[in-house]
Amino acid sequence: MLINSIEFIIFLFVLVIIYKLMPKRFKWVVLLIASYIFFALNSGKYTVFIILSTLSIYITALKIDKIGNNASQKAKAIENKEEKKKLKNEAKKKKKIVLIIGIIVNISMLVILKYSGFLIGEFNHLFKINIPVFKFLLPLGISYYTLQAISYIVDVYRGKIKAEKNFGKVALFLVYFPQLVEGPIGRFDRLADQLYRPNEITYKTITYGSQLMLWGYFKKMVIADRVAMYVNYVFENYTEYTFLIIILAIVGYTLQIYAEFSGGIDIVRGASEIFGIELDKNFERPFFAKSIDEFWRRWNITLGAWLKEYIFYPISLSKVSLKITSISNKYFKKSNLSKVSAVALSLFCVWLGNGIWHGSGWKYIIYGMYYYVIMMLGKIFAPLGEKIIKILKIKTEVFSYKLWQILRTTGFVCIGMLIFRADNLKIAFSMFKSIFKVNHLERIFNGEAFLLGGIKVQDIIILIISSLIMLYISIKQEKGMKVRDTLAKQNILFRWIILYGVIFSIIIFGIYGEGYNVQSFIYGGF
Amino acid sequence: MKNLIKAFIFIIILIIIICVLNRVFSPVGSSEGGWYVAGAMRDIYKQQKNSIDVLYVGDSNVYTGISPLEIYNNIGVTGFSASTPQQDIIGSYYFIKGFFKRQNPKVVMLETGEFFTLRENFTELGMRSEIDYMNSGFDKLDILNDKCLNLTFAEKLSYLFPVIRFHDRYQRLTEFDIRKLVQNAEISYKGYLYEFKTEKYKNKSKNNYKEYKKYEEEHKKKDIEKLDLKIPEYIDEKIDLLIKLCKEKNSELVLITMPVTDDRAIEKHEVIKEYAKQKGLKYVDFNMEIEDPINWETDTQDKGDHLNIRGAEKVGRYISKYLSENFDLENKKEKPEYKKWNESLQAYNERKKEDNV
Repeated sequence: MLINSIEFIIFLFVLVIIYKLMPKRFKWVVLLIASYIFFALNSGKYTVFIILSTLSIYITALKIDKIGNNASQKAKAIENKEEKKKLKNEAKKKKKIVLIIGIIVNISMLVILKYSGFLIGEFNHLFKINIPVFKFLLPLGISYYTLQAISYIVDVYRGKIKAEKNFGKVALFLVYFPQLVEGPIGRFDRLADQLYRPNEITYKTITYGSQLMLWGYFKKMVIADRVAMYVNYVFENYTEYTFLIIILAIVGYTLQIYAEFSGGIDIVRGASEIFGIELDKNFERPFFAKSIDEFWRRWNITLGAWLKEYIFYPISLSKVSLKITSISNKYFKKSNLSKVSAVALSLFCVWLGNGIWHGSGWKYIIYGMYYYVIMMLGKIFAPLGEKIIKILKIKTEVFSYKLWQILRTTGFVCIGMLIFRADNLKIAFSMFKSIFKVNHLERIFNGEAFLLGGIKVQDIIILIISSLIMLYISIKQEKGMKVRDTLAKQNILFRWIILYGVIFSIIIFGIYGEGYNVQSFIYGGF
Repeated sequence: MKNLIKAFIFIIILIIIICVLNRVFSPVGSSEGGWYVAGAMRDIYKQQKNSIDVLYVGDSNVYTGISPLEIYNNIGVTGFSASTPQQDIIGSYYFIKGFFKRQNPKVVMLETGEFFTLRENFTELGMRSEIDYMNSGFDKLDILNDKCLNLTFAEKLSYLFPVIRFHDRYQRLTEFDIRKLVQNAEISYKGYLYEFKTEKYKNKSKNNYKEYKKYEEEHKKKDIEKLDLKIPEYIDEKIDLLIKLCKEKNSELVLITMPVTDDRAIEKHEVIKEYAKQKGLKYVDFNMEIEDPINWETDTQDKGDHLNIRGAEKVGRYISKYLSENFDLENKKEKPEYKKWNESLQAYNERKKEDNV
């Protein structure tokens, strides 16, 4: 059941009615059952994996809690500080072992289902052997819920949250249907209470939620799926094209993935809002970012935050990292290079993790490493850049400089997207080289370059207008406008015209139905 | 409560706009491709209740070959042609079923042109034309749920809301698509699509009384079982249902075959004749039994595919005679409540006069 299908709308409609009618204490149970139905409809027999995952984190968290509680009780009876410390350390060790087992169980399922094909393939290639490769279908949202599962047990281990004793509630945290499709990656401390409390479905939650969903559908169906026609065609026939057409396809893909991913997130956040449950934001207008660092704080925010919290910090505070820091301090004194080398290892792990999370294959690893290299180079040459700015007396507060920063960042992101979209690294490199070749210029002048993959003039007009609408709204949001609040304050006539306009734009200009290849969500495949 | 009313009004307006868009975006009855012809039977809902005595149902051969006003002119019997392009038996069944809710026809003439069409050969043009014309209260949901059509949920939805299926026609919409909201694609005469144009059929058709008699002589010991022509099971099922329905409504189902240039028309005739005999139905074949045979040089509008007004006149004369001889139907020409019929007839005759027919 795709979230851009009529079945999903009907599923949601029925669920809203049942949730509304259900007595308060059973409301969360309705969400649990509905989420499992949603999961099972999408994943079939693979539902067993999310149950296993839930079971593992449920037991792990309880066990960690129990070890901690036992240690605390025993510590109360001991007066000797040394013994108390020893007891605590022992408990910490035990908790750590349990935590590691919990993490291994969850990571193993992810590795077996998602990465085993790639790993065995590489192993076979390296040792010239032939171990059979099993191809598994991925359970819905496994990359998302596995990270949620890990964050839950780590947070319990860290004492940030208490272990949930009700198995059903842990299950709901993991399987809550809106976030399964393509995130956001929820955290127990922010989500749990919202899930378990009996929320009121009100006129406001319905209208605000539906409006966000509509906006998501608009971005997905009118913009992303339309530009995908062009992008898919050029990427499939990349050898025939050069220069502007390749550039258009890469920029088009960047637009596609943004409109689609952020649109998908709007749909699921809107659906969740109807039930009074606010999921974390996953996008903050990433193409207004002035650096790659900032871009990743605005793009797939919950993944970035997860990697920071559960990979960057633990590695930064690890013994190895601290040793590297002390060595680099010794050699580079307190220069910029000393700061850079202090974070080099942690950032390497973060970007390796980011790449691997996106998929199994070398191109994803290179994708992660690409950003790692850019960031490291950025950090290394930052002082040089500042010096140049000073020498050339470049004004950094003016619009033109900010625009340059935004365009530069977008350019780097587009290259990253090329690696991400191309079937393999060889193709990505070949396409990159084609940018600098100029063949068949007449295709540009006679307009043929723009009308590929079934794109017609009307499609280009729709793309331009809808992208401008998206840009306008983004600018307003960047300036602090809350679009739905602003809309709610308008007169009913204007408000309804806008809403009917969006609804009928989707119905008429959306890419769906016969004659079109309905695109599933790219980030829905993780 | 205030919010509930607001939401209700919002949805009502939404539905109204969707209904308008359905009509605008549906190619049925538009000027596009083969869809334009499907505008003939829209007047079916405008007919006075219980005013129709004979219902003619079938595919394009019916709305181009049977002119109910021609028959009214001859014998004063009212009729309507509920025919659509490539109309299959499923569509015919639901049209007839729905028709009985508003009318009480004494005779239902079902054309056999699609009697050998396999279910998998149904075309979208055929299905959309027939289903689009059934308004929601006119067995539309019934036909969509018919097991024989085996439609998915999304397909059913696209039949109820054609804008979902044809939304990409925004690129091809013409002024005509807006005009068809208030006006039919073609002026129809009780479901008959008037056509004066002639494009002669270049070959020689053997589908006539004389040739048939010759065939009968040659095949005295004919064995229908040996023919590779079979009436599919789904058609047989619907025919049984129609027989039952017509019996309940005190109506009589008659199978008819319109004049065609089909090379296998005689063989098909044999199969249907036998089938009608088994089912206890009357069967008339306008190829083999028409005394004033169709002249395929002058009576066809498109090289032998369909009849023109001259062909329709001949068929009209035959049907008039057949109805007079086999049924006791009232001549309504002099009845004051059929004044509108006489006005329609006058308009029809004037058009013929303009064309010197």
